[in-house]
Amino acid sequence: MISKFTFFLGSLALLMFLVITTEADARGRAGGKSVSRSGPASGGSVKSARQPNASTKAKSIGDARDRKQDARDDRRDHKDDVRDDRRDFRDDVRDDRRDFRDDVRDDRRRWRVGSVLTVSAFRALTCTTETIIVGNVTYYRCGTTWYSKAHQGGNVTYIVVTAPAGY
Amino acid sequence: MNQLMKVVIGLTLFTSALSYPLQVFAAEVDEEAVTILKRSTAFMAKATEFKITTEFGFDVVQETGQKLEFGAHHEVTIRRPDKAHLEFSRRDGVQGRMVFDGKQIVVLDPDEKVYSLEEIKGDVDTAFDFLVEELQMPIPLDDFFSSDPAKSLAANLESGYVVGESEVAGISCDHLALRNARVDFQIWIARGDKPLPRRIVITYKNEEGQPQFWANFLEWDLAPHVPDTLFSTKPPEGATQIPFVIIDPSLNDGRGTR
Repeated sequence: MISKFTFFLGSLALLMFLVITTEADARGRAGGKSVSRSGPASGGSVKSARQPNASTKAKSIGDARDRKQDARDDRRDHKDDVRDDRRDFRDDVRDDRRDFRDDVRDDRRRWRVGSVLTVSAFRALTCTTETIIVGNVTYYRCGTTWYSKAHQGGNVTYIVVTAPAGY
Repeated sequence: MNQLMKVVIGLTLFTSALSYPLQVFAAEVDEEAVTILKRSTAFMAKATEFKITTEFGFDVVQETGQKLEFGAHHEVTIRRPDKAHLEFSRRDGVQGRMVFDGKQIVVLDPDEKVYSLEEIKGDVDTAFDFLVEELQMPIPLDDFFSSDPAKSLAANLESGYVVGESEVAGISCDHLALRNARVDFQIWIARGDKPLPRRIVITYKNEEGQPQFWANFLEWDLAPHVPDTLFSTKPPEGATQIPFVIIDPSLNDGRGTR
């Protein structure tokens, strides 16, 4: 009985240790400690309506569309004459075009959590990274994972990418 | 105590309890504070070309609850309506530059020899909103770079009053205490004919650990006479272009391919 209980406690401790270390590895390290370097206060803005944590909370396309729809509705509410109607139509066309452009942009820009590494997290990778230049893009290979550089939140980071053609 | 006295006291307490919050609410945004603030935002809005040098710091609340402070030195040059140049030097040694020329934004990291570029047409306000909201790139103090700083600094105030006279780096200022739904902030505005902000402290009161952001405005140059080349978005020789990316947690739920 006791040995089973001890075994259970031991496994629980090991599991907790693994969870904690994995969690720590996911972020940047400084002197062996994991340190978070940005948060709500790094925005330095007093805007009452801004997203509380723009650095980690991604804005969905739906939200943007809702806001544009709201703006458009407001504009519609205030139209008085034909000229305004014409302007509304022009704005709508422009907005639609912008919506479309935003969709395209967002799709190529959005990355999942965990596929963006800080410079220090990238340097802490246990493999020896190999630098390969294909066309005008520099890739970094670590085992079977390929990375390339990108700007994220005002920092140069390494993003996980698919292997270039031929590799 | 007779019955009538009880009723009178009861009624008095009841009516004063009802009117108290109304009175407090109505009296909370002090006229004088708003006048000083709006005089400053109007003065800033009149500047067509200026350079602001700031030193700032902010708390980042760690998982342990401990607060760590990070910060940077910024030099921001704006030429209305559509030119901006931002040079930053962070305490961790990272330096960089952001330039907007009315048509595109370029962000450069000279040490890494990389740059990112996005096309965005419009004025400085459009460009900064795009950087902060779409690219998730923080531009601390962007409220002050806006063509209408009152839109964020004096909007939706729930409370505001003048704390008193206060000297910041040898300059006599009015110290204001203000609150909106998201933040409490204190701002020190120079007295006299150039009512420019000299210091700000923002408390993110709804966030865990209530982290603060502070900034000292070291210099306001309202006639910087900078060359046009300062706003050139042409990337330097030998630098490689890299993309802008944002982190989208919804992709981790199985949606999307990356």
